[in-house]
Amino acid sequence: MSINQQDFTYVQTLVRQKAGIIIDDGKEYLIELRLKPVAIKNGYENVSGLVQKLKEHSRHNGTHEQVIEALTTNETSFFRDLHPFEVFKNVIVPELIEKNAATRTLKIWSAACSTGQEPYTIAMILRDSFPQLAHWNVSILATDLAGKVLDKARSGVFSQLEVNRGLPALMMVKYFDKQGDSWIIKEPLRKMIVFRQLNLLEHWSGMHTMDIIFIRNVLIYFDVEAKRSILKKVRELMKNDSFLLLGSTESLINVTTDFNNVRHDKTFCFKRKF
Amino acid sequence: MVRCQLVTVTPRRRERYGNHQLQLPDLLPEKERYMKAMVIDDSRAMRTILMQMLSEIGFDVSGAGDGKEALKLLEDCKECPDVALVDWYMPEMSGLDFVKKVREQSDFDKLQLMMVTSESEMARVVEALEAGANEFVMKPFTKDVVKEKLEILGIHAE
Ligand SMILES: C[S@@+](CC[C@H](N)C(=O)[O-])C[C@H]1O[C@@H](n2cnc3c(N)ncnc32)[C@H](O)[C@@H]1O
Repeated sequence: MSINQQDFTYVQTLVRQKAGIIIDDGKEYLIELRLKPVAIKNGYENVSGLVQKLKEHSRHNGTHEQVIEALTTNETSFFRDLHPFEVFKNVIVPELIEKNAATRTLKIWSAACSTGQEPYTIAMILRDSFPQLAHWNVSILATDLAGKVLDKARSGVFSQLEVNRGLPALMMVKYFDKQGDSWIIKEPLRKMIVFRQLNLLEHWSGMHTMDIIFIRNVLIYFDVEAKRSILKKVRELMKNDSFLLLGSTESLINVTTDFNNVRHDKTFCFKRKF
Repeated sequence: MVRCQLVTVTPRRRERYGNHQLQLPDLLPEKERYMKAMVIDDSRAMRTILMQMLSEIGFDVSGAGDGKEALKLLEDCKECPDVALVDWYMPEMSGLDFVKKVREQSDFDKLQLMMVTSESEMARVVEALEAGANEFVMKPFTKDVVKEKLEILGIHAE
């Protein structure tokens, strides 16, 4: 049985309000496909039953969270698109090491970190190429909306399929242990990262200025107002020398003129305008 | 005068030049030179899969059934491949021995070697890297996995 129009609209509005995620009209099949397992897990025969429950408990509860998680895309990989991470290593970090020499601090934020491949990639590069940072105050904050992906990220446990994707063999050997079928991030690397839940659409509490902000492959899910309001807050966390990195297929054209882009070959980095 | 050569019709070439038997000038400008990959695997099925993937990614591909045959091909061929994808367990000469043999010869300094194997133990990965392999792909894999790993080696077929 396919989801009815009323239920579809309800779910569409719910994920838009809570997560800013746009599900286009006509994507009934997608909602049906993704929510069926959630319905069954919660003891309902079909998606209708689940939506009924959502409506009855409109205040925050576990079911809402499960529905939102089921409808967000968590696709990610180590060294995703590779080139931005080469720019990070060859341009961004060296430049910041020079500029921040007096304070010896480097603050990095991976917003929408999904299952952790992005912040772990950042940590591996820092460890591997910048031994001098051992004497610095380096922080990597990794946040996401979804508790489930954060739990996995925190655990640092990855499958063969996941380490096969984009992770250089040398990095695998240096920074992972293998236990059974799992590949586990080594403790010192795991300790470099603080994982925390944060909804990009809500008020950001406890955030400080950042040197590098990764917001990759998440803004694409939001409408233009949501993008603008997030980028406005991002801008406030940036200093003169801070960098912003988006996904390789994302741009700020028609969204905001608050940033200058600096191009390095095929990667665009953004700096705030003053 | 434009001299011509017959070339394999890869999907990408078909896209670029149309769907007919191709005659291309053999002095292709630098950017038009196709990257070359060699697949070394004793399983014909696996070889076919990998060769198909690589050709879709945009490589000129060749294949060999074991390390010995591959070495012979390498020694004979005028233009060395840019990368060889090497299985571990093969008759005649194992993938690991092939890697060691290739690394003994300075002629193949520029050849990148990528193990593609069902081996997935850390010790095997270390062994392969120490022998001189540049990358390591675990079976099963997808085209994206292969493509990403080749990009790590700085090999972009497009
Ligand atoms: C496709 S993943 C991108 C992961 C990683 N940044 C990358 O580029 O590989 C998108 C992530 O955004 C998260 N997300 C979706 N809406 C969000 C929101 N409103 N606030 C924070 N994170 C959100 C999802 O949970 C998901 O993990």
